[in-house]
Amino acid sequence: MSLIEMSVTGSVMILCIAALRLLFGRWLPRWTFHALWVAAALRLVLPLSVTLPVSAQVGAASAAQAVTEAVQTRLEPAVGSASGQEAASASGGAAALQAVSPAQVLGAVWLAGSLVLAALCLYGYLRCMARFRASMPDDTPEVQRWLEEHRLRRPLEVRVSDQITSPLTYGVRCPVILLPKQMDRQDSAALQYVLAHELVHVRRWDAVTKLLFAAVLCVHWWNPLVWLLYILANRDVELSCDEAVLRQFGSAAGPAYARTLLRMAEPGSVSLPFYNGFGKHVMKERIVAIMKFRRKSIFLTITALVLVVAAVLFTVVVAEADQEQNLNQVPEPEASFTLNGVTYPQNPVLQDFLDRDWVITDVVEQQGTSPDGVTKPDVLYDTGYTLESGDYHITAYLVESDVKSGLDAGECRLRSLSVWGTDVESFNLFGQEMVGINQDALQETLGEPTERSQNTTDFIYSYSVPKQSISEVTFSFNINASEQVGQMLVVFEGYDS
Amino acid sequence: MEIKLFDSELKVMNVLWREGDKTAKELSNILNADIGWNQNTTYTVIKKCIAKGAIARSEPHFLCHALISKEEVQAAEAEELIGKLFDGSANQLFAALLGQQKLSGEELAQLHRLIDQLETEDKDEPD
Repeated sequence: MSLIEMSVTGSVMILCIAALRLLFGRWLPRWTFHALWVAAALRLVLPLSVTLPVSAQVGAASAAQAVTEAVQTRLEPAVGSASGQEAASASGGAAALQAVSPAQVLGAVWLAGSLVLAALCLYGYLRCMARFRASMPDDTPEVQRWLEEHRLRRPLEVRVSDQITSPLTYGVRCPVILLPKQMDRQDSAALQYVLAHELVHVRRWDAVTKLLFAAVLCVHWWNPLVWLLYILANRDVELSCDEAVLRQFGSAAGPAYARTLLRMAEPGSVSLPFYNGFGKHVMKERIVAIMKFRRKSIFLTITALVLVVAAVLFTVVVAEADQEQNLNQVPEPEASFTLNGVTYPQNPVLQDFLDRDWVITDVVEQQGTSPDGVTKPDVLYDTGYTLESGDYHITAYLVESDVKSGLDAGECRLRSLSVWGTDVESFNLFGQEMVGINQDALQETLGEPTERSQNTTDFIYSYSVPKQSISEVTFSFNINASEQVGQMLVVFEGYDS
Repeated sequence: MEIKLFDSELKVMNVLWREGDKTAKELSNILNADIGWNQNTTYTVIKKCIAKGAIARSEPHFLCHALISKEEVQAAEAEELIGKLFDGSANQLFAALLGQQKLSGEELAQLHRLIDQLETEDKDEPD
């Protein structure tokens, strides 16, 4: 699944969640949105297998290829006079080798942006961590007592620093609650609120969640909706944490808790990237939410659960729905086909054959007319090879005049594919009818050929891959065309076994 | 000239004042046992002290010597130094992009009033 596809489905989710938050934020428990944002973030970074409707994909792919080829026709390859397979070996270079495409430029820009953002994040994070680590253990008795009462499986510490002005939590394996030195330790209620709040963050592994959001931002920095996700999701992590605290202490604690928070946000406070719940916009939202907190009814809680489950399903089910759509929308030539009694799941294009490794599974003596009824008098088909490569299956006949050396059963690689003939309208390749074997059609399927014949009435297309062994055999396939006879030459090279 | 040190830096200085000159490695071991700092953390703080002119480094073995006495030191004022430490520009970027500007005194007062207002409203409403 491509980045664009992940981004589109993720963006849809972001819009839905943002709308939900706007309309029903007051009524649904805040952890709903916390969970939904996490689902959206996962949707954006986990490449689950999904395909958009084929027409869109094919359109985009062929548009890209058309642009690439337009660029390449400007760069005509030096044309040799030799016939198909010899010239093919001389010219070298795979058909897939192309000039730098617009897609590659965009890709480079994206990567550069991601790396810059990731570097900024890393830099800020490391500087913060260095400061945080240079802190002292908090040895006030009340804090120690609180730690005793709230043990975790992980080793939890409370430390104090004179370099921060609002409390924060860091560390995943060894969580640390960091309290500002200037916090009044005598205010027991405030201490309890603060520690309770930070403990919720620790228990929920919010450090990991915030890291996820930052990672999503680095990958999808070009999508403005993802910035929206980053801002709202981090806020909702704080807000759902506030809610958890109020559930613990009771909504009557709202005013006291809110005032405690405000004291932490006094002027002179330090704003730290990623650790912030104390910026002015989020503070107002938090204060209002705290003051208006009410225990949510069972009905609303269930609604919330349903929404979260629906979001999780959406990330997977969307995939299914799209694939359903795929099969219905696919145009006819691309349906599966049967060859030699075997049904292949999808329509192979010529290029598919070039990239495969073939194994000779059978060798048969054959004389006289070629198998599809068209004879070329000066050629005797005498040896038939059965080749297999995964699901692909070919029976090919050795053209006596083109034999370079024999091949026993073993692996071989399709090295080049040559087609020549005049006014060929269609041809059969391995049992599959290929329509429109004019220059443009071939070019569209295979790209720019490595060699073109000098003869204006004939055309030879040769596609080569780098030669990897010393022996080769040429296979010839007849092309059926109206009134014309052409030949398709397929050169396999054998691997030394 | 008065040098302003953070608590972390003061901690390192205290060890030197108490124990005399020590190598960075020794300081790191002592502080690890005392407050759980790892070696990187200690070294970072020592380098800060050196930059502030509180410690002199000599070789061999990265020997640390306190350049100032206890009396000459003052605890730092957080805001002034922190702004420089966190590299203002990167921080401004994030603050602007993500709307994380600090609350001004006026805005804080407004929020305090908001709490008061919502609190009285709440008391008037039945639960």
